[in-house]
Amino acid sequence: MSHHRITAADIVLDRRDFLQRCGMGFGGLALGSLLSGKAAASGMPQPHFAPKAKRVVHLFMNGGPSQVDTFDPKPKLQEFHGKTMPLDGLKTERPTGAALRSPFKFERHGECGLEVSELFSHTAKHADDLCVIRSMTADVPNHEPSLMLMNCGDGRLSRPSMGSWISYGLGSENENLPAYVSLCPGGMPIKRAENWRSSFLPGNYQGTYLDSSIEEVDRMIENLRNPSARESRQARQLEFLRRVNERHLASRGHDPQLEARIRSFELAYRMQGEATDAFDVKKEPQHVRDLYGPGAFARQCLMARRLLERGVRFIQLWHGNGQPWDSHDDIEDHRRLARECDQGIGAFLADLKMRGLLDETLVLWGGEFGRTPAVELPQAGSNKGVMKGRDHNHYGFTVWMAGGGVKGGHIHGATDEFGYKAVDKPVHVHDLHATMLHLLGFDHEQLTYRYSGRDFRLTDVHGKVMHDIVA
Amino acid sequence: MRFPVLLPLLLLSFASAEEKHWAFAPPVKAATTGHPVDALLEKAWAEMKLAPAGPAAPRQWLERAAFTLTGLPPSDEQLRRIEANPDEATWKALVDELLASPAYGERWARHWMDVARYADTRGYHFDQDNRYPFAYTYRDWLIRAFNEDLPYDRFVKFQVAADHLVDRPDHPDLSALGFLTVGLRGGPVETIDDRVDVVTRGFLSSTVSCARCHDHKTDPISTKDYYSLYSIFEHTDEPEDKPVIGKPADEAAFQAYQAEVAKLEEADRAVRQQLVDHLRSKEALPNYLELAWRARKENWDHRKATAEGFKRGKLRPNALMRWKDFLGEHAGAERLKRWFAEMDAAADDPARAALCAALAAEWTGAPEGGELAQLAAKGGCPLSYGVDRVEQFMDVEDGNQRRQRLSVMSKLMAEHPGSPPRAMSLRDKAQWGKAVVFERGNPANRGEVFDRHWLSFLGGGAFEPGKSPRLSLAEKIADPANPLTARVIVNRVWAWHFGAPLADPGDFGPQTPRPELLPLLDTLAVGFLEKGGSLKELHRVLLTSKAFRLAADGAEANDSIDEANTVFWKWNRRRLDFESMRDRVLASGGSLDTRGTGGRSVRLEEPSSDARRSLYAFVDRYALPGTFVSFDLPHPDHHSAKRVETTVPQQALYFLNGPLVLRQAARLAGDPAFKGLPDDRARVHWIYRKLFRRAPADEEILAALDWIGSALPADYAPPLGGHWEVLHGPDEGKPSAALSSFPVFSGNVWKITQDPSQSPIRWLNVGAGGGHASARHTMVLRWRSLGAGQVRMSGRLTRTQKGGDVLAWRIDGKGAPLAGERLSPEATVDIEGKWTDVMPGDTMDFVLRAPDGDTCGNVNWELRIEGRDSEAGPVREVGNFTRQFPTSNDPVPGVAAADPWADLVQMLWASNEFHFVD
Repeated sequence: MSHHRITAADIVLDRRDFLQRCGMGFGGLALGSLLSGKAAASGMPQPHFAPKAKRVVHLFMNGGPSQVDTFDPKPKLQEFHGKTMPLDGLKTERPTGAALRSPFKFERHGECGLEVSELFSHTAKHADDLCVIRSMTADVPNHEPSLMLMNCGDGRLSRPSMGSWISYGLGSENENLPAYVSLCPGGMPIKRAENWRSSFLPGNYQGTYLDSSIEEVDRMIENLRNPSARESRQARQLEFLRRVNERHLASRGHDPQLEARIRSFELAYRMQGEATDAFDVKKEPQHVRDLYGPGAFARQCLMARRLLERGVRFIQLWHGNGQPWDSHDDIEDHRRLARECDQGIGAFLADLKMRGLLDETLVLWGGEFGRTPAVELPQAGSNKGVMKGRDHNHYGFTVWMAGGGVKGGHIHGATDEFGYKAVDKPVHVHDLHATMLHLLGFDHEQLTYRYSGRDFRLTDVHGKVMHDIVA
Repeated sequence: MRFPVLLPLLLLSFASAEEKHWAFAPPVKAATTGHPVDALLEKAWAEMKLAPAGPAAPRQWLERAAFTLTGLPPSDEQLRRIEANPDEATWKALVDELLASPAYGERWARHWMDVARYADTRGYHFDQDNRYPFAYTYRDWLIRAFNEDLPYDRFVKFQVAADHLVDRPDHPDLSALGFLTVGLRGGPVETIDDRVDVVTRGFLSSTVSCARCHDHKTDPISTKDYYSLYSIFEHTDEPEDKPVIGKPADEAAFQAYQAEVAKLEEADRAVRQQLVDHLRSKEALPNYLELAWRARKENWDHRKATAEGFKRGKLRPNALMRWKDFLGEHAGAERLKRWFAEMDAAADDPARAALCAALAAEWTGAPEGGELAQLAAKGGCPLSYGVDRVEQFMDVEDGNQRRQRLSVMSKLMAEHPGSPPRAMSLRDKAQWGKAVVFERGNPANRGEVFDRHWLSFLGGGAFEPGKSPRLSLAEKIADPANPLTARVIVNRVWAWHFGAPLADPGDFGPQTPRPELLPLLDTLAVGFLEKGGSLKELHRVLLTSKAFRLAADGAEANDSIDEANTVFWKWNRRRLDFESMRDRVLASGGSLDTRGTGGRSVRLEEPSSDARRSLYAFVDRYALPGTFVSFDLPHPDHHSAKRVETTVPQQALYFLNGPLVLRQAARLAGDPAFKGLPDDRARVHWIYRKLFRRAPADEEILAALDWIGSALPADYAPPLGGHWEVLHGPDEGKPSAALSSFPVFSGNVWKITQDPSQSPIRWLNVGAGGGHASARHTMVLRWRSLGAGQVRMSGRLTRTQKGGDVLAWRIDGKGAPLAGERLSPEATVDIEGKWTDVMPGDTMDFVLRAPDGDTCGNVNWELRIEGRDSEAGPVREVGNFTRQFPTSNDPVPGVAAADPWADLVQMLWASNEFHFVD
């Protein structure tokens, strides 16, 4: 039997365990000043190899945007409009019928000549930065498991979200702000907090959800402000607390727990200011706010840029509560939805480029799946008696990425001539995750966490890195 | 890599694989003299050349014991006793006293709730009520079980198979089955997996669930082991009507509840009756017959039946398909044969419709005994479906409506004060099939069929025939010969007392090397079994050890040998967990009511919950409150073997700004007993006594007095805020003092008379979000400051009517105009006044005028008051007309000035002394 003793040094070696105990941010972060010398240096999380991206912004079009109406034009649908398509019976959630052409015009954009529909004209201005993956696939045509797959890498089981894994792997760059923020205006998407859960990862890696429709920052973040105390009064209170705690500490032996807790109050005090500042888009000059345009989505795009500048690792921007992009009844509804987000997305990309942030920021746009090129047939009690909508489609759909080391003006993979099913270079959601982790400097098979006797990872036993989209 | 230094050790243990894994061999009691805990720890210290810490002060013993046994601070009287007589007899008596306190069961129930992944909701449930309204009865069962010191084998067996152990269907012990049923519902397969997981990890610290897709990678656990257990839980179901296990104390409420239930049941029955009537109606029945005939001809599927039935006015596709099959099955019957022939021969649709109408009329009026009547009585005939079975014919919309009705019912059961407690029980299905392996964990891929057996790594073997395998499983776990069960619970109890486990509570498999202190774990486990599995006896053993009473700081020389204190040579200083922290704040603030245990879960964010201990929190696994996340409550989707402890700024924010802390501090500082004290010195004493149950040291008194004495009056002036008044007056074109309040408030609108069109001041009215101006009059929305600082009014106005007169607006600060413009029809304008210094009582007015006439329609508004303490200070919203819309003309009381004493209490609550048990 070995008689090795676990010492404080071992605890430091096991940095994640240590960080989870004493992490000072919303996410984990280094505890530099509490540790001495070399221990502090090894406290910072490290990727496995040189990362191309350091941060991620996920523009989540929840509900499932239609690929053939946005980034995957299919002229064949025009030809087959109203006619049965020669396809194997692909089962989706609800009954579907003949081909339904896209009511939206496509045009070529940028030097690369990427075809984008009129819905995303602002986004299209950045065609040469977009890496469009037209051959995405998921497992089932239902929202709940597909949301779980896209966010947590598993449709059924309670697994940590991608943002949790990334904050676990990279830690936070700003101890006064959460490492992982999920913004959704007006409530939560379906599956609510399960979309950003940490599951068995320590709780501090869970996404911090904020309702971006609330304009006053104080109301947006829990306990951020004392409703009555003036700043000078709170500063005096903290000074008193520090003295009380120092007296307590002095009469006891060295104990990092006590010191960590003392420091957490100083951080909290600073966070009150920093978080207020970070989320307050009113601090932006009017011309910048005009660039992003009106509405909640634009506001959260601007918030995201301010958070990126302050070192937040993973930001998810949801289109809205529920499942807004779920246009079962009438695909024309996509026009309204795109109008709500396109200008903000275009401005966001322009802003990041201008500030030199895009190179190190990986932007992902997409839903949990796409929509059928076939029209959805009305059913008792579910449609409004209209026949202009599209059903869910997990066989083939589109996401795009920009910045963060992906090829710009690039198209990866393809769906069949109708846009139903990925046929060229299909990319499963696990592959997307593996590639994103790769861009962040992680071998997706090595970023693991031991739980219940097993090493778990985001991609479970799956995932292939798409090396040909890496710039 | 975690603990890389342990790698060689792992290799070592594999090298000697012949030797049985420590946890699978029966525990053996070590020969000791004296207290077994101390004897075995002393041996370890001696081997490692560690000098143990000295004894802690007797009051520490008691603070520790009160914290670990009850989660509440000890009483002054108890502290006095141990300080006066720090001898073994007094100590033992105090431990017994704490064990006898009802708070003991509450504390240990909450520990077990982590193991049992307790929550009050099932997780995501689309648009239905996702609550478990009776999860609380499981929590209350745990409290009773701990308080009554239920022998551990019974504790195990009840939670797995109580339904086989009780003698009546309304037995309160049925609620123990909540252990299985309060988990996350992720679909049928995941729900069963969750139960396998909680049973094996909860009682055996064994990761059996890892063998779901393939044999365990590192442990001798096979997929057959997993699917043996899986099949046991697959052969259970939960009664739709959960058994009532008691009666609410309030008889009148109970009667009222029953009346409500009867009403809802009747409403549901009526809808089902309507569907029955629809199926037999002379409008629908001919259509069913006709479409069924076509469906047979054209061999429709369900999808086609849905579409065609929809066109005929919402025929239910399930009923249509049933008709299709039924007519086919009985095509040979005399009358139907004729009908088929006539239908085939009919010339056109109207002819066929007539034939169907005739058959329908004949069928519904068929004389008893006749052929059609006999057919109608057959179980497969849609005409035979009554209210009991008609649910099968419901379509998507019917189903949605039905679910809504059921939601109303479950809301009633969950919330009505007269709703009786029920057990979240389950029961075996009637037939026991064999167990089946799902290849690679895929339920669609059924593999080998086999006889279920007990876990092979614990001896295996078939379950006793003729007995419920679930009961047998419970007995196998509870069997004293099971080498894991006693060790697992003893290890948990040890960790909950000493702050660190003897072995990894998450995994007792071969990946966990032999624990350093295995002899101690084994000796305690054997002793525990010898005492009949009495947890209280185990607590007594642990708490009477010297180890429990060592000081929290020891010789520094030890740090180079065992800094992490793996052999407990000193007390592990403990930070209060969330529940003890909140309970201690409430107990020391005098709000906590500990007179009764149990009851429905409460929302902790509501001030009315301040009287209840934290374990009664409503735990929503679907939307876990931010406070729970910040304070490390384990996510209840999974069993939790131990809590992770983090130190994050949100915890500090909770103490700086959290409403509970502010509310309680103000309450304590406002206590009449405190206010009545003769001087500040006595006040400091009083606060320290309340919070820390000790007298303050002189320097602490001085520090507090110094701080109170130096408080700046400006800091405690009432906060910048105010209230709104709704006024009107004659329009003099400038600020006017001649203002009146509105006499009528109805329908959430301020008016001059009930009907504004008939009012002497025509049209004038004010709602929360908009109102109507009146010619020659002003409408004044006045914000009156309750504090001092700088404020500015801003907002947005929207005219709602096309065309009409031009209006005018003005912002007046302290009676002087600050801004104003004309307001054209259809305009939307942003308005903004100027920053103005205000003192309590000063006003900021929004004035709306109709100088050109009041043909104008409503004006909608958003009006806010921004405030700051000084020019450089941060700006925040301090007033919002719509949100603070006044609904009464009564004068608003001024706010009490903040109190430096409350701030002092708040900071002492935030201090490390309050949060750590030395």
